[in-house]
Amino acid sequence: MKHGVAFRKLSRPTAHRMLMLRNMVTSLIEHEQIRTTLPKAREAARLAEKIITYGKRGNLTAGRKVQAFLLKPTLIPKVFGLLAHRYANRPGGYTRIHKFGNRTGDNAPSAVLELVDNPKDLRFEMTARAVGWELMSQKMLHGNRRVVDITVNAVEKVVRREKDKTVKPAGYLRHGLGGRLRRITRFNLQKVLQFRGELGVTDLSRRAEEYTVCRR
Amino acid sequence: MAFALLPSLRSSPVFNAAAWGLASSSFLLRPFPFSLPKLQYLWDLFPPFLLAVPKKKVSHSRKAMRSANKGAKERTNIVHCPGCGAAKLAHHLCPHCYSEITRGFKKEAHDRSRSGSIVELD
Repeated sequence: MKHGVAFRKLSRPTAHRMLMLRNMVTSLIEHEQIRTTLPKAREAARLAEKIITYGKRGNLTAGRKVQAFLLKPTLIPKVFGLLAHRYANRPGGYTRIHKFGNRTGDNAPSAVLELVDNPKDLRFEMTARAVGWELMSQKMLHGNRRVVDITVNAVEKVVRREKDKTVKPAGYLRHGLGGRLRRITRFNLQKVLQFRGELGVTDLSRRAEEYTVCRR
Repeated sequence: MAFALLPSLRSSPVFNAAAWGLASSSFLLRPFPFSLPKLQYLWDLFPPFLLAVPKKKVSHSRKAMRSANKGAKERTNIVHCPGCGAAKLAHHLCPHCYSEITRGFKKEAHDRSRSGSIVELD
């Protein structure tokens, strides 16, 4: 029976398992985005978040614990500097797992494990694309079909308005009351911009506009 | 294998005429009217009519009927990607978008490293 046991064995003895997870967390902190199987990602995410919590604490004990865990000493300043600063206001949830189909060799469910708000944040980029796509499709439906260009300012205006709207409960799927975006897109927009500040708004608008330029 | 067994059978009490109390063991001393076939395997003694075997070739129709419910099940979790409109699995990343995004980031990193390099081939 496995009632209430929180950890996975991953078909490996303890020493192998711990070293593998330590390696994975070290790689995650180094590259900020890794691709692995879904159960391994879920186990590694737990440990990675604990390491980042130590990084936020910043005292000697925390330093010793991180030094004991990570396999590359060059990453310790990153944990206590860059990542601690990035997640200073975020209460937990520093990692994100995206499911990504099945691996070709053994059909194992694979996933992308990434640190939230990293420079290559997938959800941020996907939300920007979704915003661009939706505004583009709305413009094509209602506007002049020959000239379809969406300026950065126009996108930014929509993003600013949408980011402070309350997200309606399920049932308001398309263009929830008074908004131009789908409910899910607005929800994701608010999520990715929550701890990014002004820079996040301008960055997302720029990416959305760039995406629509490619799609023209 | 059978040859190995036969000597021991001959020496066993079963073949001992005295143990059976037979007056004349002529039956056993007379040569057999038939000889035991040369066996490579004891399996050859097993009569073939006892083995299970199909009587007729299974018809195409019956074979098709049996595999009626062996087909692949439909996937009901296919949705449109919000970024490119292509089909993708629900709650999964769109592979096309992921590929584009990661290639874009790699190109950016490559361009940044190239623009920062000392040797510029202009």
